[in-house]
Amino acid sequence: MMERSDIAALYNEILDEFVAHPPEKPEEYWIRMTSGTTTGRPFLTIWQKKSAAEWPHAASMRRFIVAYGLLATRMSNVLSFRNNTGNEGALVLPLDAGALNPSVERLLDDFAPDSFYAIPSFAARISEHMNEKSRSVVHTLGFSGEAISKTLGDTFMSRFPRARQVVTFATSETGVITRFPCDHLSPNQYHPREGIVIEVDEPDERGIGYLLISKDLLFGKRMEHYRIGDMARIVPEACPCGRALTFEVFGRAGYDFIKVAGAILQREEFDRVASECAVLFDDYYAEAEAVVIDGKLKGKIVLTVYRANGVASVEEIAKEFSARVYLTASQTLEQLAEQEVFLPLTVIVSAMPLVRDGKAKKLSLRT
Amino acid sequence: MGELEQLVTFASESPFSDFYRNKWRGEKAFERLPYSSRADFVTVPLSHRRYKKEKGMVKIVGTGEQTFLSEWSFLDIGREPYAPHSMRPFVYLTDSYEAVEKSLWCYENGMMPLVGEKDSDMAIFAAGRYQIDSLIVDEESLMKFAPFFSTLRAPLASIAVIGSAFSPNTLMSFERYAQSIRLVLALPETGAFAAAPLSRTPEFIPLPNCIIEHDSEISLTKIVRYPTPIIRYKTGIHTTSTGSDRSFSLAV
Repeated sequence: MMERSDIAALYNEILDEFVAHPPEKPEEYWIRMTSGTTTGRPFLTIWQKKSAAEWPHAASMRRFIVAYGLLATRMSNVLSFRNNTGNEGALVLPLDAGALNPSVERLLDDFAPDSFYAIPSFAARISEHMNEKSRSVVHTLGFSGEAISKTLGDTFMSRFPRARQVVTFATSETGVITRFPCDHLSPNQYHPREGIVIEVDEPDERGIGYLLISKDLLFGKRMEHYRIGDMARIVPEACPCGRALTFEVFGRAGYDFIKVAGAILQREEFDRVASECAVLFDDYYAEAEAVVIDGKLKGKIVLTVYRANGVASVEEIAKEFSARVYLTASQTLEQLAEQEVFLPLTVIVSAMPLVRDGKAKKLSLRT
Repeated sequence: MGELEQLVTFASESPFSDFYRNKWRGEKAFERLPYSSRADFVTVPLSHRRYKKEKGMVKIVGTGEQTFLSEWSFLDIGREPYAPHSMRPFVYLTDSYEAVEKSLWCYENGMMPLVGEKDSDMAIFAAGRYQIDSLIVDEESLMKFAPFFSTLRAPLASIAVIGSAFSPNTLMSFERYAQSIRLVLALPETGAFAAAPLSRTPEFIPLPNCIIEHDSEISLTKIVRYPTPIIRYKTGIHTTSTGSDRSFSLAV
């Protein structure tokens, strides 16, 4: 099994080969740096010519917005757009997050986007600056980089009523590893691209374990059983489209999907409950950990909330949130606290809006 | 009909946009054409000043309420004379739209660039790993990138500093880090229009296809059929005489 350090070493060998023996047409490759925000330092990855030609709807993307935080990811998608041969006369706007101020609505109206490829949280912010008419012409929302909760998916459906949501799985180390989704897949389910091998390591009783990826890289190198840090399962049911393998991703281990004290904390579930508690607070961040009290291992969750207007009641939030959030298939935090498997929920009210790194992380494992 | 005259005719008779036709109100003599400026681009949406439809990118120019869209076809991007060819260029610019565009310029000219993220530590690390041999940069990001040069074993082949204003005395401190350092006068909406080798008193020479009228402020015409052509465009850049008709200096 390969860990991130092994992948970094592979890509360093590829880079050294590229520098020592540059190809005849370097413009047919592209190079980017990984984010380095999970574990370890960033490293440079090199890929061969990118094209979005695999997207069946690429020719209809005439006014395309690319919205990612990392400049490298924006550049990657602009390059794919440029290299696509079916979109003469089309335009791409690689939107910078700093542009999201009130004046951007006029510019988005002028550009009149019909398609996006974005990180979901960024796309949600952009949509707040688009009027109804502008949003009504968007026909494709392409997402990668974050799991999409049902809440967020429903939000996109209501804001972009004519848009199809297309989710692909991609990382800076692996590139895009999934096909354009068929009509039968549920959210966060994918078919792997040709040449990609998907496996799951240490599956639990539900089949959920660590996602392993294998694929060929440049210059004869191969990524073999790379444990990328996401949790996934192989979907046992055959897909009506006929593709041999379907896998489902549950998010980053330690962030979107946390195992603590025998329970499973999923960000999607926390988002759902936060939505139900919208009258009590506007934003949240939860940190979970395992603690030892009187020699017994117990789970502990600290929920930090922010309320823009009004006073947040710690007691009411703790009561409501605990009663609603499921940490197992059948038990809520309130029930697990009664059994002393978890400590009662701790709620902290932040006087300032919550600021978090990276992709709007809302749940994390304290180690 | 000369190329300039053809450009003016193209803009005034275009079926795609009324932008210059409305501005010029029938005037056809170049020297009497009313000037255009950023204020016009802010006021008139891009969709009303598009003179051709080629595949390309759009960028947001300006800040706050004074923002507008600027469209560049990929082919036009490739034709800009930003920098010499190199094996491993590093693009490190403060404005992310300019960073994407200059990276595309590299691809259009047969190079594989590495684009630097905003964080200077990450940028320096990446540039070192890629063993860059040239730099496309603006003055602000060059200052942030300065620690990189202490790691160099040999001077870079070139540094192209792109912008609308320069501090030559400050930039001279980088002289020993590249075989050539070129100052490229450019605006996001016009592209490059003049260049000068780095010196304490740089003398800028207009680039090909650029007509520069500089009675104190540069008014620029580029004989290129851009999506929004640049014709008698007030740049806001002020000049001083060098004593030569062929060159100018920037006012301090």
